[in-house]
Amino acid sequence: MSQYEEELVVLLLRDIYGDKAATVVDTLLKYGRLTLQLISRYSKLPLATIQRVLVPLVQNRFVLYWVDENAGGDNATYVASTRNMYNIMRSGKFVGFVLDRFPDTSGAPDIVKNLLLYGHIRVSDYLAAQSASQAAVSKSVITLLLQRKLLTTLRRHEFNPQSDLYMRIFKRRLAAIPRSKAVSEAKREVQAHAEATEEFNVLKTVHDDINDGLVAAANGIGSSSKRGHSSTGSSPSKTVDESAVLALNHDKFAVLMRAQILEHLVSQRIGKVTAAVYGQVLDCMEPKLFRCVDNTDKAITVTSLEVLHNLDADIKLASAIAVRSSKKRSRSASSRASKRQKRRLGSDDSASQSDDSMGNTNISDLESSHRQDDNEDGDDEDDDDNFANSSRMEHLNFHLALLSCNQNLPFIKKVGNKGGGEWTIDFDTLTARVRELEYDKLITQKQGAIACRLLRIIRDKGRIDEKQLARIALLPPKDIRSQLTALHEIGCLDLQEVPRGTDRAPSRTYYLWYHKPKCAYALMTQAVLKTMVRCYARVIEERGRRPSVMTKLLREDVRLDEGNMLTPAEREEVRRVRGVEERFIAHMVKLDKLVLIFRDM
Amino acid sequence: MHLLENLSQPAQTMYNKMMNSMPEGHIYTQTELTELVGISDPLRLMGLIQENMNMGLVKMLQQGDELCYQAIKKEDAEKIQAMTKDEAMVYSYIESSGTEGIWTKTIKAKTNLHQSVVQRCLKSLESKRYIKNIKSVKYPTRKIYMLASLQPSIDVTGGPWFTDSELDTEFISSLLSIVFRYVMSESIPTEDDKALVPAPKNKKTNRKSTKNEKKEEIVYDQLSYPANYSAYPSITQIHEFVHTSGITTVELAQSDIKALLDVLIYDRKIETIDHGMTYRAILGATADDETSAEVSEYDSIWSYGPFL
Repeated sequence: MSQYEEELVVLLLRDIYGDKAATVVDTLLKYGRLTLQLISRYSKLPLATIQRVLVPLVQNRFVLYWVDENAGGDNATYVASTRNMYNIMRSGKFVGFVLDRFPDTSGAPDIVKNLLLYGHIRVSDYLAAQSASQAAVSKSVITLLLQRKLLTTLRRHEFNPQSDLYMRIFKRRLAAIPRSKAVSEAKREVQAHAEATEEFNVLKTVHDDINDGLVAAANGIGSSSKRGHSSTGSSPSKTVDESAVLALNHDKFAVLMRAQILEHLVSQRIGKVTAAVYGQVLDCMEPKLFRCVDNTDKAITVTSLEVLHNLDADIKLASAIAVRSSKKRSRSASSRASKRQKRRLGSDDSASQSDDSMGNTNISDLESSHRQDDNEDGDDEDDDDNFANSSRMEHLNFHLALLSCNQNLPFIKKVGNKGGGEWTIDFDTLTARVRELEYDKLITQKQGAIACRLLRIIRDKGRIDEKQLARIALLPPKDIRSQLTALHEIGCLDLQEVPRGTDRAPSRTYYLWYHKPKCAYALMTQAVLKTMVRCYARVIEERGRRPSVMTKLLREDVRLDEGNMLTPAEREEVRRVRGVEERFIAHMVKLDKLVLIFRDM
Repeated sequence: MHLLENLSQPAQTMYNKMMNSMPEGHIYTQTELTELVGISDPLRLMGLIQENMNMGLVKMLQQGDELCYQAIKKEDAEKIQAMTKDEAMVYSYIESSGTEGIWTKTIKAKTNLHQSVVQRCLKSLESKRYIKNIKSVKYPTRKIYMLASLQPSIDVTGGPWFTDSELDTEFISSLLSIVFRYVMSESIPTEDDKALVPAPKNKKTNRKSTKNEKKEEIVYDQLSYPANYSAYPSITQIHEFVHTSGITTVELAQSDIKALLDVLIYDRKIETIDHGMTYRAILGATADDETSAEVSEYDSIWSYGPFL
């Protein structure tokens, strides 16, 4: 939690839920955990108002509550959850995401919008508010969304702060372990902590179950729970449990956003075809990924065969394959041949020849596979299905190999040969690399390419002094000083002094530069949040400058018919304000991507 | 010629033999001299050597325990003969420092002369173009002298990256860009490299291609060498390219090329493949430092705060 994040969520609440809600949340953020009476005292609002304001806040889990069973009486305390409030920032993207995947007519976007409005919904309540035919459609869509884990069930404990929950479990566990002279108190506590952590984790991962919130459909024909497991969640005989309470699953959303970011990176680094393949790999893994930072050790794998089956058949894999043309080959063949000879220490021409022939077989392989493609299009189309599939598999493996070959950016890793090749993704490494790349991009933007070069050298070498740095970077020493201090100023670099003697004379001291990613990223994220606060404040300010037209816009009749109810001058004014607003909000969405990368990924 | 004229005939013969029988600067031991001149009497030999040394035509050196002798060119000897004693001493130290050059303070310490005397000597020697002032990269503030006829060593000049003891950034950046372009041309496939040869010219395939169009396959614009592609340029190749292309007259060693490649790697323009054996360009990198479209995505994020 940070100052700027708090400022941001208070601004968001003030804009969406009004001044009073913002005041209550602000008070909670400033003072920490408070009871109703204390909120009232600090915020100087009447009790009844606070009670009214707290209802939507608790509904949306912006404010979590805790009732201590042992204390008795009305002792509910409230804690603001910055993270849940921050998720408002992503609501637009969430709706957009669902719109991309589900047609507008399916009702899925409406469900998501409603959930954004109410925080959580009981399925039966939602269905009851619709006509019978609509309800049936909604039900199936909700089932789909739940199966894809875009929605998640909500349980009572999720309205409570996690620390309280943990302490309750811990106390119960501790009490369950009998006191005895043989076991020391410290040991008892350690054991209780271990047990409590385990139980707590079970509580946290309860939504990960594939059938969470689903029940067998009334008309389901013999659907055993086992079959549900085997056919990854798409079993039609399951339907949503009407008594379940649903909310949006922001953890899953982060996973999906991460997939998008990674796919985009592949399209930049390798190409669009490979990116499409990578997208499919991620898609195949997705049902097994519940959140970005997963503590479970088990690696999630996917096989080439799976990818091949799910890959869009219209993507032309082979078009991206290149082989060194003979023209180029002859141009530098002599130099390469000599190089090979040197490397192999006196091996004769046959060595280079065999290499060339290897290259040739490569071409002819691909050519023959192309001919197979031709055949497929030809007369005996039906018989050659298998044949074509196998060549497509070859092409797919070409792309998978491309993804796995880069040591700096290991997009996938091969772990076995099952199903034509078994692949896994090391998300931790990849995330670290993505952060590095993103941070470098920011530094380049802010300080220029030279500063970024220096940063990368420092990152690579660990600790390094200025002279060495200048030597490696091939830059004049006097030029890099200013760059380094600029980087120091923004928290990207730190300086360590190592005295050569007992006196700490500056002339007899080494100054070593180093880069601490965690610290640098945290400072950067803070700066990003601060910028978001400023952007949002500016949006509110822009609206405040035109009070008359803005209040008119809020009127119900104006809202329904803006075209006729506003004068041309007013329309122009509204258009201008909205233009400004749009620019700032688009900017905030971009910044939110940075927050996602550096904090939530 | 007057130096030689002052010598006796045998001494003159000895000098001429020393100059002509061996390559210039050869160091003779006493036994070698005995054979060369054909005089076995050491005393007579010493006399001849002494005669030459008085004229500054032969220099005495010490190698280990043995005394050795070196003939000096007439012109040089004349130069030294024309100098004052102090000048000759300063000159001898500067001469012995070779291509490294010598710091004025060191001269002062070694000759035990007064600062002003050393200064005067240096000034007169410089005005006669016997010595020159050079700048060292390591110690830019020191006044360093060496013989006017010599080229400063790499230690002093700082290697190929320095021009007049200053880092030649323009030279470096143009080399960087050239090396990058070369690596890029070798590592990113062009249309020629398409694996699938363009359709043959018979009718049958023509028909098929129209059929393909109908199917509307998704074709993205991508062309990649396979993962196990092995013809990315190695450092030797890049070195050879720079050498043969004649971009520069400066002699570049392989280690200099390596330094250039390292910088390109730190600029994230190229990357190493195959455990550092070969290099390839990173897709989307450009030769110039202009900010790519990707970077400007965050344009104007930097409006607020110290960082942003």
